[in-house]
Amino acid sequence: MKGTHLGEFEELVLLTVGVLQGNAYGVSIGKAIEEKMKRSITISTVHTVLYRLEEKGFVKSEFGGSTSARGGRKKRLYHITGAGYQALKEVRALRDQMWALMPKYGF
Amino acid sequence: MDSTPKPPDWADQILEFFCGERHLDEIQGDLHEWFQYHVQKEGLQKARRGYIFDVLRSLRFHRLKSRQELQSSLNHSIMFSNYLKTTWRLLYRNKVFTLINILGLSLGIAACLLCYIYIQEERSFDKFHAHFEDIYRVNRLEKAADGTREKSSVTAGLLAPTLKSEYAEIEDAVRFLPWFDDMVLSNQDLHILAEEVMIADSNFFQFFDFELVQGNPATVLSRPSSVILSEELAAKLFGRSNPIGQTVKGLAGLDFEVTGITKKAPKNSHFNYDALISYSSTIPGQGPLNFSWMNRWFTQVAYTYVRLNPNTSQEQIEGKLTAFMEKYQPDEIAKFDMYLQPLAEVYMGSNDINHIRKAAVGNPKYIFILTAVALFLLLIGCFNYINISTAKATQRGKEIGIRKVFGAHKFHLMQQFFGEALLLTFLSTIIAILVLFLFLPIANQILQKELNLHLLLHPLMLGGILGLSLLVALLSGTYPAIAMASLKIKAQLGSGFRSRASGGNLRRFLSVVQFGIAISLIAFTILVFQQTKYLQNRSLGFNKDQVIVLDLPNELRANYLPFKNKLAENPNILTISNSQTVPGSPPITTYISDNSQMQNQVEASFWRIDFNFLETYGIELENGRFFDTTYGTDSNAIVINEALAKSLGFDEKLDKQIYFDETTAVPVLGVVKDFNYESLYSKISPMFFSIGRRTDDKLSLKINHNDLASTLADIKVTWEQFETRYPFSYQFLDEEFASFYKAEQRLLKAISFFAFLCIIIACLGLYGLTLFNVNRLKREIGIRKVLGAEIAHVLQLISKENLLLFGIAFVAATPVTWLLMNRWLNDFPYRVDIAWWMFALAGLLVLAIAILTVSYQSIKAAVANPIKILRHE
Repeated sequence: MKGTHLGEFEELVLLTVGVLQGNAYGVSIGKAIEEKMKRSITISTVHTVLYRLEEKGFVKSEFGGSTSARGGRKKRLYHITGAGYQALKEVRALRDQMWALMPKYGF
Repeated sequence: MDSTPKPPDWADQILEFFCGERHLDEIQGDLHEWFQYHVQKEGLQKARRGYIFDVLRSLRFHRLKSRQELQSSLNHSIMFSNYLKTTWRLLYRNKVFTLINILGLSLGIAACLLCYIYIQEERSFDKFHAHFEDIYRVNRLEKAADGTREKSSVTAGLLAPTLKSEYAEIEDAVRFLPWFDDMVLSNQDLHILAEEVMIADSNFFQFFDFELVQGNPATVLSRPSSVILSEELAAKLFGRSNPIGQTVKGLAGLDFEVTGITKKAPKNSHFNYDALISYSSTIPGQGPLNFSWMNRWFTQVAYTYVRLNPNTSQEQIEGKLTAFMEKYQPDEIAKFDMYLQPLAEVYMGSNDINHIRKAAVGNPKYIFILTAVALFLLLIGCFNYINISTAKATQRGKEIGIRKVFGAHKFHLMQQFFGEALLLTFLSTIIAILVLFLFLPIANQILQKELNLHLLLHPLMLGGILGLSLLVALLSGTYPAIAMASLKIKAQLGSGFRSRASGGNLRRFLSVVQFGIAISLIAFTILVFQQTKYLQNRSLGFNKDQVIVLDLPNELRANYLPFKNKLAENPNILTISNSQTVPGSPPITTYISDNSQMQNQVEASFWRIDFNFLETYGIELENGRFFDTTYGTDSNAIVINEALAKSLGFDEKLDKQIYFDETTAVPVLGVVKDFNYESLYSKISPMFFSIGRRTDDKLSLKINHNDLASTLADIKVTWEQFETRYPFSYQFLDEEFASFYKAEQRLLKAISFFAFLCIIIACLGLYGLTLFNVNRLKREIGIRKVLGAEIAHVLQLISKENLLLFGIAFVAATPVTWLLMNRWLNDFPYRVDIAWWMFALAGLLVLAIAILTVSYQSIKAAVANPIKILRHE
């Protein structure tokens, strides 16, 4: 199957899309990642990832409202799809499996 | 005015231009929101920088426009073709300004191109020889008693072959000697005068890459009594018949066999020849000429060139030369050292080298001056363009305002104005090349060269010229483009009553620079003119204006006494003197000393003359007496000049003797006042007169100027009675001396020409600016007049600022010019002083022309009927 493989950043963005639940677009996702994860990102990276995710079928998009801060331009809002949700769950499952096998360290 | 912060406009334009339709809205919207977010987080500047960064990063492949989209977006700027049309129309409608700009730019570009060709030609000298990088000329560095060191290009006749045999690293060595005078070569009764005859070594054509038309390079110059003729000379002497094997009568009246025909050297060779005589002809015992002075160590007469092994460096050989001299020339070590001069540098780098005969010497200062002037011209042309364009920006305010309303961004506007500059510059470049074509002959005359434009037609050069155009367009167009694109909309669309011309300060600065350059150039021209005049007219300490010099050829020399006596019968010939050398001819030198151990030797030129010499030339005695027929022992004494007396430490008593070697000593009869027997480039060097033998080379005739033509005719008749081969030739001594300063005369011509051009271009600029200013102020002038202002007052309005600018330029230009003048004058031991009136005159001239230029406009405006002007409101 083509690219069910999720990169780290892709996973991050996809998670955020799910969390934001219908209010997810470039800026909101970017802000969330910057605040939550304390790392600064380039907004065009977010765009690129979103387009890739859409190509893979993990998200779908539609045009949303425009505001004056955007100079009257429309937003593209993203929603997570079933396939996307599935992909996230698989990744999480993989992680859990690995953690289960992890011996106890004294760190 | 909007208070919300905005991201950089031009970055937005780039985004809009390149990004595909589908994604433009969301990306640009996101980017703007992100920008606002960051303005709060990090401040405006960082947010703006980040925006630019984001735009660039957003331009990824799938989001770019497809091919058709791009095409249509270009076409969608019907703006583009509109720009082209408007640009053309604009240029055409403002014919005057356009013409001024084109003229200025094309003159500047043409000057730069000419400069380039000239420099390339000068730098290419002698580089056509194979392995020229390994070829060097051997020069001498002389050691004078007073510590000065002079360079000389002549070396001993034995040097070349000995160097070659001594060092394996010297692959080949050649010697040659240009003959001192013109030589008559004869084929039976046909006598042709050859001006550049050389005596050259047998390996001449193997060493140098000259084209031998007939003859084997290896053998053509080996036998004694061989001569090689240039194609032209052969044609003159032998017409159509084959010269090879035939006999030519030449040097010393001897017969030479023609063994080869050659093409003359190309134009960019530092030496040239009409005929070549084999060196072996001069070797005592081998050839008939028996010139021992050309084949020993003591006399320095020949030019020696060596070719080193490519792996050997110049320093390696130079290091060995001291040992070489110890072995072969031990007596000369005290007098000079030898060193190598790379062939590529010989042409340009020989200005300070003495004894260069019949060789072209280039002047690196010329190149510098020419380049500077060409660049000045170009700069002035660009400055004009900038001035005129920015000034006119206000006129186009309405146009710019409207364009902006219809959506043109600053970026677009800058493109438009750049486009204008580019179009104009391309036109100027084409015209520049045409101008060059037309004026090349004149330029060649002034520069004394034969430049051609082939260099320019090389594809690489054409690319370079294109690049130059672009550069000029950039230089001229950047500021106006920015200035005009930044005009505020509102201010323009309203009815500007007195629209301020933008870029005032820059324009003033540029005008000041233009004035300054013009003043500088004119002042310098005046200086060159004065110096040239001085060189030609300064008293030399002897009389050159009434003297004719006859160079006696062989037959006449044998009979010089009867010839002289016959000439003396002519009442217009006042005095005649015969001598070996005359003022203005290259001096022959030797070393003398004031003690018998020959320590502290001084190099002095010696003059073999007769009893009439002092009278013929009007040279004054300072001390003692001159040669006199009443004293029988005078043939064993000498008369020296002040310079020699000083360097030997003689006082008035004249009781010391001069030693030529350990055993030969002569008394000194008198001291003559110093006189400039060489050009005024050299200070007066020590010399002495001696009487007696070998004074049959030249006759100096002091004449009175009555009926010059018939005097010359008489001399000619007498000449032909005694001499059958050589045609009658004579030299006016003052003409001979004037010809020394040809270089300065050329410089004068060239620099006057350029100064003239400079003023024209600067005035064109001034004219254009004034035209514009006057138009701008028309209404104001009209109103003032209605209110009762006088014409003079109005004129004042226009001229005030210009006068101030001129004043600043004058004050700034004067010290800089003074410095440059000093540097140029430093080369001359005899020079004029820099006078204040040179600057004053230059300033006045520039001021006068500027005033004339401005006043025509101003008067027209001041006199114009105010009603007519105001009616148009």
